[in-house]
Amino acid sequence: MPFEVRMPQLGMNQDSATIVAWLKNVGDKVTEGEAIFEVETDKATMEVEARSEGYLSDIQVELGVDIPVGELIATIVENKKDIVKSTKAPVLTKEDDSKSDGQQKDPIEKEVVAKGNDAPASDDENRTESQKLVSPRPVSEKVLASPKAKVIAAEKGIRVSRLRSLGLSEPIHAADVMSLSVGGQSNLMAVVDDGYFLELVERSDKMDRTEIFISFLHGSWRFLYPQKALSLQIINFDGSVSSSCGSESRKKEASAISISLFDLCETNLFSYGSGRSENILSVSHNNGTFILNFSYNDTDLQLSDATQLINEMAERVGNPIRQLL
Amino acid sequence: MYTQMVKIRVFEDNANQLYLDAKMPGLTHMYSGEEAVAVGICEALRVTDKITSTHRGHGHCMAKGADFRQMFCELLGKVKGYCRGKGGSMHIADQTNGNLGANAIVGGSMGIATGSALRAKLQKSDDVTVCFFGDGATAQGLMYEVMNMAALWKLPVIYACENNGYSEYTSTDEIAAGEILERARAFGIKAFNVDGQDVIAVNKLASELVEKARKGKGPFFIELMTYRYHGHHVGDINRTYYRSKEEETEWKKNRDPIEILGTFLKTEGIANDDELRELYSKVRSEASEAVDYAINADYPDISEVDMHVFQEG
Amino acid sequence: MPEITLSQAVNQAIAEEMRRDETVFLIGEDVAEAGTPFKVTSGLVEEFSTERIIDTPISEPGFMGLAVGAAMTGSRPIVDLMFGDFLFLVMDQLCNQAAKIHYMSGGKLNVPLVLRTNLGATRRSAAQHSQSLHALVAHIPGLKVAMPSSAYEAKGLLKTAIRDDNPVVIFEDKLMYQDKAFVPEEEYCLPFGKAAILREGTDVTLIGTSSMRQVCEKAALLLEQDGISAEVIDPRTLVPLDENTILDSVKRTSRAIVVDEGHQNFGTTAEIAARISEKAFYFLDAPVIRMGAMDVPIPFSPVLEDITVPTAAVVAEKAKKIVAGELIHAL
Repeated sequence: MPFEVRMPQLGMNQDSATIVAWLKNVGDKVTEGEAIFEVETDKATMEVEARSEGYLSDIQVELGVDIPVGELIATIVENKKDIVKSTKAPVLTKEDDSKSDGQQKDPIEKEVVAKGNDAPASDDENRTESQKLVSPRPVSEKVLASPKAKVIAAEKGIRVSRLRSLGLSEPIHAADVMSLSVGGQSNLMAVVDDGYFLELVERSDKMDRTEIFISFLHGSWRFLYPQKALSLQIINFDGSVSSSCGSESRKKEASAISISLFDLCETNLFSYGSGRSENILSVSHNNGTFILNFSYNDTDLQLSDATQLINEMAERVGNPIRQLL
Repeated sequence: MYTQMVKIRVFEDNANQLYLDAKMPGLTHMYSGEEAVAVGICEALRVTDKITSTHRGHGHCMAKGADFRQMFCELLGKVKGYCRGKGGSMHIADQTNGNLGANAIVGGSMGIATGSALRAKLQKSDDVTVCFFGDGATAQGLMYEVMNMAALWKLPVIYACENNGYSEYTSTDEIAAGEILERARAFGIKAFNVDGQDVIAVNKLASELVEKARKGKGPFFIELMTYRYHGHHVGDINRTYYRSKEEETEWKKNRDPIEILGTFLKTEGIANDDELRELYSKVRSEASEAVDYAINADYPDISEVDMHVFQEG
Repeated sequence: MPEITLSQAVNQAIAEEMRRDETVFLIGEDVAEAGTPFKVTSGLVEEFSTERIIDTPISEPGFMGLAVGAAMTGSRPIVDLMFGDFLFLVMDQLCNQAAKIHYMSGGKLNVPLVLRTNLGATRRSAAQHSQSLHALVAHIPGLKVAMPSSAYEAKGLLKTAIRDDNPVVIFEDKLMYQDKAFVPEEEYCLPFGKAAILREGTDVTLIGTSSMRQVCEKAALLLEQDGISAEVIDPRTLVPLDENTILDSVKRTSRAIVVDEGHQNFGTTAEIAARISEKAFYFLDAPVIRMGAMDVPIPFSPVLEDITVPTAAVVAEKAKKIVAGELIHAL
């Protein structure tokens, strides 16, 4: 008997939703827990997972159309021969596929959603027989913290967006923020001979200097902490921040340590520290040396971590050949 | 009394013009045609006697002794108006002459007038309060509540019903069952009907009743048969659906209170045509001077907006 | 200091003011020999005679209107409105006349009158004799609104009301008429716009008006057993409202619950909560909670009626939740 896939109830005051993307084609094999389509309500976009194993069949609705909660959307059949073809679903491209495969869910995010949603999937058998709800995507950047907690965080120089990554559970109140032993900013500096590195820049036709710095920084981090996520940004001269293209930092994770690179080599500037609790590696160039100045926050990084990281980074800048090997 | 009636007529002519010229904000109701009512009664009152007025209140205000300048200022929302520009046409009142305010709620002042009379009785003061209201207000329940108490407690109040035949845009015959006077009589209140276009008759009756009320023999009720020349408000131009042009012409031509008194004065040899004409033009120039004064007067400072919400101190 | 009932306190205030000022008189239904259904004015007619303690027909708009006129011309009437529910009958005279006359006359006329009435459910009086309608009049500019919560306050606030040159509506809790409190023997008035901090605390501010003051005080005792320190504030007058005392307290405690017996929708609790949210936003560590009467006509049946009004237990429970930092109405 086929499992029915119906439009899920996704919130208390929501009586319809729109399918914005199919993540599987009719006839594709789906396993339990695998995301099969994306829906959008007035509040969020979410993925809906299959609740049983089988083949996706008989897609009955079109993309972009408002569909009442509980409406039959498709079925999942046990045998290949029972698949009913449909003209209503678009055929997925390769890219779409990889996108859905690449989904990673942060456990903290899931917890927040479970707490915050007034009415997660209803217990009504008819409605949710073959699917279950997963967390919203994209991740909500909004951290649930009281106004007072936010004021205290600001006074301590902690960005509200970081309260979650500091391990506080939401909703976050004043006392939670006060309990944080937020250290100040610390500084480490390394001076490295520029010879080999400049040679490397000259030979490289794929990456410029800044990109090589980013790549080295990323490599140093991976080498020291293969399990820990890192988010890298580049600070531009106009004050704007662009996220780097480091392969694993593409997806911003709430628990990731964030480091910004400020490439000052073209200027007379020497180093930069923002005064906020940020981790900034500024790189300047002077008299045949690169000066690596790392201003970091004590709650993000221990002294030992920071020294290892900057030492490793300095090694790579000073001797890029070793890195290439 | 002739001068007072002329002043009201001239005031209203100017107000009408100001309104039509868009120099006057808001909404206004003309008293023209009913002058004998306000003047006949107010001439029987002392400064210390009180009146309560209506949305059609310019006439009462003028008859109780108000001044052109401050009245026009109020109409134009100027700070030198009687209410510092906060009342406007519908709440205009010269408080120092015992005018307790013009009320934009039909029948809304009946409690106030009766309360004023209650105060007079409690404080053993011999002033009398006259409550002006229209025939339309007789449909309000408040009137019967307060007439009951006024009669029970013999309060010095006179209910003056200006019956101009129309309750806004509806003939009074269509809104009032039975006789209005009988309603007052049901409470044991002595009630009288008088020709509201004959200022001498109005004044004679009012004088008698005021003096009686002063001696604790009130309350009284007077129905004054009158007519409003204009519509319910300025701008109520197409009136034929509720009253005919012929009817309006008849009142204006043969029942005009100023004409009636003028004829009397001439017949009695008290004044001649020239004197009356001269008086008329003197009032006109006073009014026109006052209009200019008001147009050039200052608006209230905007800081006054939250002044007088409460009496401070 | 003698202990007297709220009813006696009101009676004393009226008598003292009538002795002090002969322009003061009392008007209403059954105020003379009957002394009102709650026996609040008993005995006054013996001293002041029916000249100044005036029984009226059952004509609320009528005697309200009379009071306005008398007040405008030199008297200081105290209007006795038997039940707060009858406010709807006198609305035109109170709100269109009394409240606006000073303003409309450009400050030239005054209406120094007091409208005494009551509020409060749980007397098994059903939907037309149980309402707490103070928010209705507090909405109208030109009216002052006082909400005594004890015999002491009832006397002091009423005396101030009688001396005020503006129309004042004063609500007595009809369940509290027999409640006793210590009242000074010497004369005193309580200023309008000055809240009372009845209990100091550090974790949460409970703001309780009139009948809800006792509820808040009892809730504070319950919370104390759980180690939570609650501050209790009685605003005493809604208009003018002592915003500063409330805001100062909430800035210290970071949490507030506003408790009032009027209906919760668009009510007194909403107004006070909104002011806190606007003016102490950055000090808040929890949502400001409103607790009013349930938004239903007050039912007759005791089992139903009792759940329409906030109780100490319910207030304490809510306070515990916000102090514990539970997620309330998020997202």
